[in-house]
Amino acid sequence: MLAKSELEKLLDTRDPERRIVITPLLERSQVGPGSVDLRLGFTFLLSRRANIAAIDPMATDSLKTVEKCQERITLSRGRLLYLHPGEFILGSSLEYIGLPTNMGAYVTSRSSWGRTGLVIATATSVGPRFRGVITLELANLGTQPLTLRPGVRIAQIVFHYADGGGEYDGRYPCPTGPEPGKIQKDKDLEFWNPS
Amino acid sequence: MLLRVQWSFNYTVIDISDIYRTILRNLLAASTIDTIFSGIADFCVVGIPTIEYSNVLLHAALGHEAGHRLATDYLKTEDQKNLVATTKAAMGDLGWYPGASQLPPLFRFNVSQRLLDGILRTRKRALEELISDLVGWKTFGISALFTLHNISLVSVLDAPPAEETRLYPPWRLRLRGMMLKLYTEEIIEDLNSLRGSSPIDMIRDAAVRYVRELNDVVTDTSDWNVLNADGVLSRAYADLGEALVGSEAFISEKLGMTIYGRETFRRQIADLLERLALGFPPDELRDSTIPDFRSAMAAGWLYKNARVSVPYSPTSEWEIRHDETINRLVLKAIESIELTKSFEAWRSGNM
Repeated sequence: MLAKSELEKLLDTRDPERRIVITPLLERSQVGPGSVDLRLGFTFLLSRRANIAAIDPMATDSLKTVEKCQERITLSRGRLLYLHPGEFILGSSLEYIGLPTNMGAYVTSRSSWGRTGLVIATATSVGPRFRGVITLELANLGTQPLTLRPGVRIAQIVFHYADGGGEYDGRYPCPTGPEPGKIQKDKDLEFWNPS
Repeated sequence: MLLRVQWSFNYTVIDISDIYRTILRNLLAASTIDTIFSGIADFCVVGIPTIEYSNVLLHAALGHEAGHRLATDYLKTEDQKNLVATTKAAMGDLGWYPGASQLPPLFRFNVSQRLLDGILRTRKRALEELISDLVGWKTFGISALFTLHNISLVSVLDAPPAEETRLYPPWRLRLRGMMLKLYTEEIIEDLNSLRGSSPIDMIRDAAVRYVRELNDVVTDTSDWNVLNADGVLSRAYADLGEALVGSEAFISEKLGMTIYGRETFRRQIADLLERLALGFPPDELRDSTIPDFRSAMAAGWLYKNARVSVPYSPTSEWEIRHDETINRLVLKAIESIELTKSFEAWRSGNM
């Protein structure tokens, strides 16, 4: 895990092969002892009820099915979003992250939010050379609705060195907002779904 | 200000307070209308064509649309009496108008008035568009040129002004006006002097090639051939160059600090192209300061025109999806730049 002084050094270096990019980093105080606080972005994918049997990642039209039960919204500064108990939405970090080849990261909740019942991310791993905003899976496991405001510090990203990193060849190139899942792109799905 | 998408393929800025004032004019006393609208100088609805909603780079067209208001203001300052007198003088005895010499005096007067009106309206519409182009150039720089060229690609370059096209001037003429600014403000020199490792060198070469091709388009004067072949159009367009020069000082004064100057472009563009090549939003300069958002747009255009992959990899071919990535990265940059400015203003107690 990278601690504060090393984080600051890598944030400030001009060498693109070593540099960690976090933009916009509105306040330097977001850099903590062992992590960097991430803010909530302005765009969300809301879940809504749809007349579908199920989301089946193996179905050929699974992406269309997912789109049927999601709605993309963008809030302006100062607008609120209420997350009700049991509700699940996708948001994203305000910050666009860029990792060098030799570095990975994982995203976790901030404990202050966790204590209110908000689960911030379930898929937390960020691979070497990733570029983009981090999609945050937001779920309210508490018993009261939660008020979400774009811009608030909601998650934290922890960096670590990774050996043997290469080009990022993930399925989310340079995302700038929350992205729906793309399980259907798994190359071995066909084997598990013989016709 | 309201932002909306619209079905029609056109960028628009409409002041709806004017429309409401007109509607209410016959219903309420002028003083009541003034009271209702006190504090509302203007209320603009900005329209973006639905199909181009996510095409952030093309939104530089809004500079031109905003320019219509300045163009209207400028045209009000023209000496109308003098304009009518010089137009009448240019019309002469109507010997150039087919059949005019055979008309009885009263009919001839009627035709003369109709032609005078046609010439003045055509001239005014041409100036509205050309002055707005000038505002577009002054507020968005090279992005305004690329935007104009992109939009012109779906039109006939030398289509003469006609009632059906709301008397739009020929696209070639408009492109020529912007190309003139590119050369006189020496932006072409800045493009030529872009230095850096790949893909910056490729972007420079592509930009220079693009400008050269555009220069071939505007060197061809077939638009003027079309205009000069028509008695009304040739007289309407006779003094446009002079009128445009006259409008520039007026526009510059009105725009003040919002002008996107050459120096800003020259200082920021290479750093932002580098950011895009690395797959980052073009929202930060090498010295960690934030750039002008118009530089981010210009970087997006130059990168897009070069057709190289984003993030750049010498082993990756350009694909159409990279254009979409550039648009998203530029939009993210614009949002970050403006948010950072607002946040810093708030932090320093100015908000």
